[in-house]
Amino acid sequence: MAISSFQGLNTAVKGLSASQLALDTIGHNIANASTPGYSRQVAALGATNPTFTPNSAGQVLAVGTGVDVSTIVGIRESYIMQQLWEQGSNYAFSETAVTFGRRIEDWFNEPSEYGLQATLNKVWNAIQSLATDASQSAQRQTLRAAGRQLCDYVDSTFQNMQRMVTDLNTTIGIKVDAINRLTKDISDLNTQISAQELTGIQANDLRDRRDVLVTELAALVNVSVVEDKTGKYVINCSGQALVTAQGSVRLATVDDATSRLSTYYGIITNKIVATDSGNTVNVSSGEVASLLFMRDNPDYGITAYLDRVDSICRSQLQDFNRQHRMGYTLDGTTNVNFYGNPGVNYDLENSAVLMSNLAGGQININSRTAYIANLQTVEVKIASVGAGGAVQSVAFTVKDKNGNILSQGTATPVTGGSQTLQDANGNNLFILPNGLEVSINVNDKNAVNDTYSFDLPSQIVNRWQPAVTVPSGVAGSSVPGSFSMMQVNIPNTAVSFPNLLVGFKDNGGTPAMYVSIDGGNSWSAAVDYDPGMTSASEWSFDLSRVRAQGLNGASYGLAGEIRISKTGSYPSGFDPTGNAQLDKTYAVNVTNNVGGWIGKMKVNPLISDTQNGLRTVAAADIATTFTGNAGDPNALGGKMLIGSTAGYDGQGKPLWPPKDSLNLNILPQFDVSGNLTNISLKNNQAVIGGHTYGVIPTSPAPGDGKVQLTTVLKDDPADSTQKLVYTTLHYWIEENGSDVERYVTFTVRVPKAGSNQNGDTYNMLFPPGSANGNNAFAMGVLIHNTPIAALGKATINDYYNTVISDIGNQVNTQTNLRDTQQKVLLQITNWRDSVSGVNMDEEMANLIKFQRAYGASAKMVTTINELIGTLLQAV
Amino acid sequence: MRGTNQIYQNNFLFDLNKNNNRLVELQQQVGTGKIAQRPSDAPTIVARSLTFSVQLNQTDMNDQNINSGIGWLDASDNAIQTVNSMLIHIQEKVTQALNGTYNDADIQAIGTDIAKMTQQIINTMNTNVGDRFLFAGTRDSLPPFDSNGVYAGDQGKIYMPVQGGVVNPADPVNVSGTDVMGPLQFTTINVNGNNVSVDSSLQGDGKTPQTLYLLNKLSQLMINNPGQFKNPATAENSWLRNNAVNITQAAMGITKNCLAEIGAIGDAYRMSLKMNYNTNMVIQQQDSLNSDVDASQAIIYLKSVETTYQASMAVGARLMPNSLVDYLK
Repeated sequence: MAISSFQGLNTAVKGLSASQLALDTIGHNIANASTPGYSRQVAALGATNPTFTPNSAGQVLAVGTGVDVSTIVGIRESYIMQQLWEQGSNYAFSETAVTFGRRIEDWFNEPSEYGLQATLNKVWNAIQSLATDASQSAQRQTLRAAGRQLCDYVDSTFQNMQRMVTDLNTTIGIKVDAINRLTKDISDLNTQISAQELTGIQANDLRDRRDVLVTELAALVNVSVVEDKTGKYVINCSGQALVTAQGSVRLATVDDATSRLSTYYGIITNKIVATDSGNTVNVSSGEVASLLFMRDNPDYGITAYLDRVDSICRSQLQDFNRQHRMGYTLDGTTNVNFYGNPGVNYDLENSAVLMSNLAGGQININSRTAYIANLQTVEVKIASVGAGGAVQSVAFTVKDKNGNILSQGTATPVTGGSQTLQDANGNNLFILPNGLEVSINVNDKNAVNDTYSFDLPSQIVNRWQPAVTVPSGVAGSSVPGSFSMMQVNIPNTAVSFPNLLVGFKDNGGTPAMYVSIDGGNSWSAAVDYDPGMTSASEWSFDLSRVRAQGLNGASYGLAGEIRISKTGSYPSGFDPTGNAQLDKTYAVNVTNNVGGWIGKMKVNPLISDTQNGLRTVAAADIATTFTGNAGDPNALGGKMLIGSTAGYDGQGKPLWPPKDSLNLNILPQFDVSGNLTNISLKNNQAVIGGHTYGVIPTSPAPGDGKVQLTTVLKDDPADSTQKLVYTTLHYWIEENGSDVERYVTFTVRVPKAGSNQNGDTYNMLFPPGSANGNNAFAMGVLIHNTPIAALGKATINDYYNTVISDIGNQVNTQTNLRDTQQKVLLQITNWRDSVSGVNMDEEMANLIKFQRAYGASAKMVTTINELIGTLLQAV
Repeated sequence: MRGTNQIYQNNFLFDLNKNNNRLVELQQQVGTGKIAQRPSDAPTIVARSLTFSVQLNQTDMNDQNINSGIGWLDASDNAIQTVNSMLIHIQEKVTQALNGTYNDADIQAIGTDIAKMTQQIINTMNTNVGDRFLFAGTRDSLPPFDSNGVYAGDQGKIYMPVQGGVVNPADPVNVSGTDVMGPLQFTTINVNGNNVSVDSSLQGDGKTPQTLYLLNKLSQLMINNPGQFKNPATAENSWLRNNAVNITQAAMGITKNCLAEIGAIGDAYRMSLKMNYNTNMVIQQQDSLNSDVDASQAIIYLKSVETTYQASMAVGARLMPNSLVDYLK
């Protein structure tokens, strides 16, 4: 038997060094107890290979040779990490959504005395005061100030939102930089870890550091992490590789010209693209996704709330203005906007607005139809229906006032390019002759043979007003910023029926879009040449009917009017040479009018005017008082004097005022001696409330649109040089479906002698009494009680109410979600800590364990030392 | 499950933070007396509270309108009463003048009296309240009558919106100059319900209301031609003499109708005032129920949250610092 005296010593030394290593690992754990992402390490001990020694009996014994540390293991669970990253993304998403949601909420500033609701209340109060006390300029002043306040409010909201978008753009840029840094670092660590582990050494601390970086990355974007065979992380975000086995992919931000904020409001936004492919990265979770969501989401983001405020502005520019335009100013003028620019009919702006909503919301007729003379009824029958009730064709009959059929036929939806054009509400458009436009909701349950009949113009509230002429620019259009120029081409065939080609060039000068009037060009969409608008000397083209398709597939609307002279002389400013030429192209700059309705909100400069502005508030519903002899004041003495107010039926009952304004051109008739024989209406017509009424020469037959003058001539008892004409003007107007006769009486006083002659005309105007506040009253009703189509058939207050409750609910929901996710995240973090975290008590226990082991091994050394000593003494 | 020190800390911080937030929320509620400080605190409550604020604003405005309507009606009533008493006075004078024993000078004096009183009626008809002339229709920024009684106003009506944007068009707050003084042209006058034909030369000039027109004619006849008044030679003068009392009777008939109408409308407005006040109170109550904090409940809740907060800190303070390290010697 042979046994080494020193083998025991070796075993003891191994024990010492193993304990030492274990103690070092414990020290490392204790030192890193609070290090983020640290996974505790355990020194894995293993017995070393035994030596084989035969015993005296010749049996072979395996003698233990001690201990060794086989490896130092990091305790980690990759499944937990995956969970942690996924929930980390979700939590970061809702946390950011709450932060920015609360900022949006702050801007609405409700409930408070300074929010939009309070401002709307102020406007309403001012209107109410004006309605009761219209002759006080203080009340007009208050309304103007309240209107300005509303404009200021929406403007500052717009500015705030714009700032927040800019802020978000910048933040997204910074976050993308952070993503790039993280992916680069992760990729570097990938290389180190795989190199180290290839040699069989566990890269515990490097792995911990990498996991920390991935956790940071997961808070920014959603990631999917896969570890390859060499220990490298391959990371994807929504299909876009961020980290590959080879390296990292850089992301970048670029301007996004197609976002709604950019095209509609002109606020620049950015998007994230991968630099390797140029593809847009659609981040779905994490802080960055939340930033994009809060900016662009059409239901919850800034875009959504800007759109809601924009709709309120639209209701002001369209509905409120429409009511205001119906009223009369102190100067007796009408058709004045309260908001926006003078002379613009905002109903004709942008996407065609459906004025009347008839027959259960299925078919609408556009307002523009109203100005066409003689139209009485339109009957629309649905002829064929496709899937889902979409109307494929309609049969129509248009009749005049006498029941004669003006036109009859079928129509199919208007198409532009290859697709069916729709208005803003998703309705298909059908263009009928006579300038009629019908829009039919594609989603309603339309059935073949459904028939709708409309009386015109009674159900059409608004009358056509000429829009801006082209030379002043194409105002109020939604022409996107990419168009630099519009060209109007007049081919040389413009003899009986005009040809017109309207082209647009993009910023690079390349032709982008053409529409033509005669239908010869493929881009011709719904350009409307309308004989009704055309005067003896000009053709007129209504650009608001132009709905053409641009190269990028989007449909564009314009507003404005092109007028072309038949005689060759053009409106000034239209032709720089001053001479019309056929077959010549005229260039008109396109006014880029991006900015939405919000951008148009201001008090009409006519009302803001310091001199006459207050008089221009149209508080009155009718022109109630009567001033005669508008015309040549110098002609008064010698000619006709239109007398005092009158309007009695002889029983003391006032017939005055009439329902509408009256504007009469009186034509007196004289015999050869210059004596008055009678008076009549010039051109046999009277303009009442903006409508032209024709004279019925014979006995008065009731009917809308008719007028008759009866006169009685008397010598003036008070002044023998004057003759009096007691005059009654009868007219018939439709009210609530039936014709109502109204009349007004007045007296005309004409000198018997004087330089009178046939053909003299006198204009009579009826400006309002200053205290008439009935239109203001109607404006108040509109703000408080009238459901508005542009606001989803809600009143302004109700609509705003839902805006506030929506933002409230949204933030509330996100907050709850965040709290839940925070809890989930806590649980996962705890789970991870439970597996990988350092427990001090455990470490202390191990410390003592290995301290004892170390002591025991040391005792072994001493013992063996003594053994050897004993042997040496024996020598 | 293996517990670690980090788990203690995570949980402690999470719970402490929760308690803190709850305390902040309660502190705001108790401090402001409102359940919701912002829409996201309680979306439904804030939305309802916005509706109530609109309604309250509306009733406040109605209250103002109704009161100014009542003021307007009361002022009109006073002025017309004054006119009426002058008409009574004129009637006495006219009756005297018809007494056959009066000589021309007496009649001229009476005519002058009537002219002066007519002038006073015109002055009364030019009454204004706060720069608004009561009897000018909607042309209320200028005096409606000149010294000859020529009417410059119109027959426009002024309405005060009194509820929910709906006003009864039959309830204007003003009566125009021609409502009180009669029409500008007429063929008959109404004397105690009977229509009396008017001489064709006296059927109005189209600019002066009936009462003033006829009183002017009468007083001018008395002043300028007292003899004709006593023994009229023309149809015109004869009509004036024969109907001298009828003129004032007809005038008083018109004013009395106005007074009755104003009285009735005034009652309606006063009724509206009460109803509006009630509505206002109901909305205020609703608003308070909707959005005000129940103070006692909130404070009790605050107390319990505070206790939890203290407890969580106490537990944290006891557990967190301890580990085996403290016990190893």
